[in-house]
Amino acid sequence: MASAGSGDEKAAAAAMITLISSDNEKFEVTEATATLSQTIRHMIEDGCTDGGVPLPNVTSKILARVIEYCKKHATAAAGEEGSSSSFSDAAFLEVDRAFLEELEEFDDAFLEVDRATLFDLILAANYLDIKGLLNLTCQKVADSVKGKTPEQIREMYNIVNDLTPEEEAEIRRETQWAFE
Amino acid sequence: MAKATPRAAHPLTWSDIPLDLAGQVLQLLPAYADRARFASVCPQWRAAARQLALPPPLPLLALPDGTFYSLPYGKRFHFPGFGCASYKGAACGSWLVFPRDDGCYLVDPFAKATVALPPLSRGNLYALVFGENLLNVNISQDPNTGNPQVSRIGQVIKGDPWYAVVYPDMIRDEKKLYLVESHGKLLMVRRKVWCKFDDDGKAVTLAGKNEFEVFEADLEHSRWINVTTLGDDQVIFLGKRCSRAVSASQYGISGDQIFFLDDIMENVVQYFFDGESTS
Repeated sequence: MASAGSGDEKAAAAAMITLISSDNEKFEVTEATATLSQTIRHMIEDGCTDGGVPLPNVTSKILARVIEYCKKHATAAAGEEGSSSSFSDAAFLEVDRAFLEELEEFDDAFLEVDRATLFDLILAANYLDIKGLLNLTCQKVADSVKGKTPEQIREMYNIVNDLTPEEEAEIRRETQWAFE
Repeated sequence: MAKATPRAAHPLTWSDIPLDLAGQVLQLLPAYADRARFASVCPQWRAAARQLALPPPLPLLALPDGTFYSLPYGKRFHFPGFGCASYKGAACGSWLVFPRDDGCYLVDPFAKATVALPPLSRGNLYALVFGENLLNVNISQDPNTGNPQVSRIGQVIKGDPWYAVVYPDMIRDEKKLYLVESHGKLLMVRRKVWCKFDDDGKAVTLAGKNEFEVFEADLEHSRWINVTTLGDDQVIFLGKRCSRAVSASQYGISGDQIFFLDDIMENVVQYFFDGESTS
């Protein structure tokens, strides 16, 4: 990729940020990766990242996955910026498409997780305010429930049906048709 | 350095997903049926579906025989009871409109609720008639009885005469007109349906090919302007009783599309195309 050289220089000059998970594990990431999180971006802007950024709501297991996502998407963003100046329009579109395809494959593989991990990723994406990751994970949930009955959804997400008899009756009255 | 606090003793699970996050998922479920099923999973999911301000689901397509479709699914659903099979009125939101001697009433076939129509509010009522003339109907209150009455009907646009093209083998294109509001603009959709007739002029093959032309009302210059696109974000649904435009992006479907009911067979007994369409 033509942008690799300049990208390396940028990376060398970039400040590193330390993220600290709830179980006290430290992760060192570039600012470009960290600032995919609006929450962390604001902390950096406020100058309160010295000594690391504690993230008490995110375990090391989940934080490692989130960082994996941010790294990939930060690289893709940087690559697109670099390539736009050095390619003709047609070539740029070609590169652009290749990027998007690669990113899509990455996202698909990234989402191959169990339901509990998916839930933790949603909570983390929300807490860290990473729009792309929140959309991606919520879309996964939406796609998984499409066309499913409430019983199938409960089974899939390990949810106990604790609706009251009144609520059950109301549901039967109003939306029974949807479960036929 | 701040000390990391441990996570809550009882970590959240799917059944207590925060409402706003459930809302994020619900926004990605455009089908009415999926929203209804989501709302039936557990109390928290139900609360999210009922309390949050969400973009409206895709419209249900109601057919006069008491069945309906929840887009984008091709599955046929049935209105639960309530004699909706005789529904011949119009549809408006999740309400079906039934005419009665003393006025109109609305039925929500799901909640089985019935209400009488509220008094007409002031606004612009437009009607499209067969000659492609656009009429503006003014409604006012009768000073004596307080009942709404039509006080004036004005012609806003005079349409050009349109003639069916007759092809060999007794094939002719018949038209249906629809009036629909899209982004504050009034659109007239001219749907041409290829029909085959026998020697007595009776239609024998109905609903061959369909072709659509869209015109925007230019109220200032009293004319229809032919438009070639609905815009990337608009999708229109055409029905004899109710047509509407919705924003495509909020449903994750591609825009610039027309959905229509293949409702020609409804007219099979007394076959004529009329311009019955209001907005």
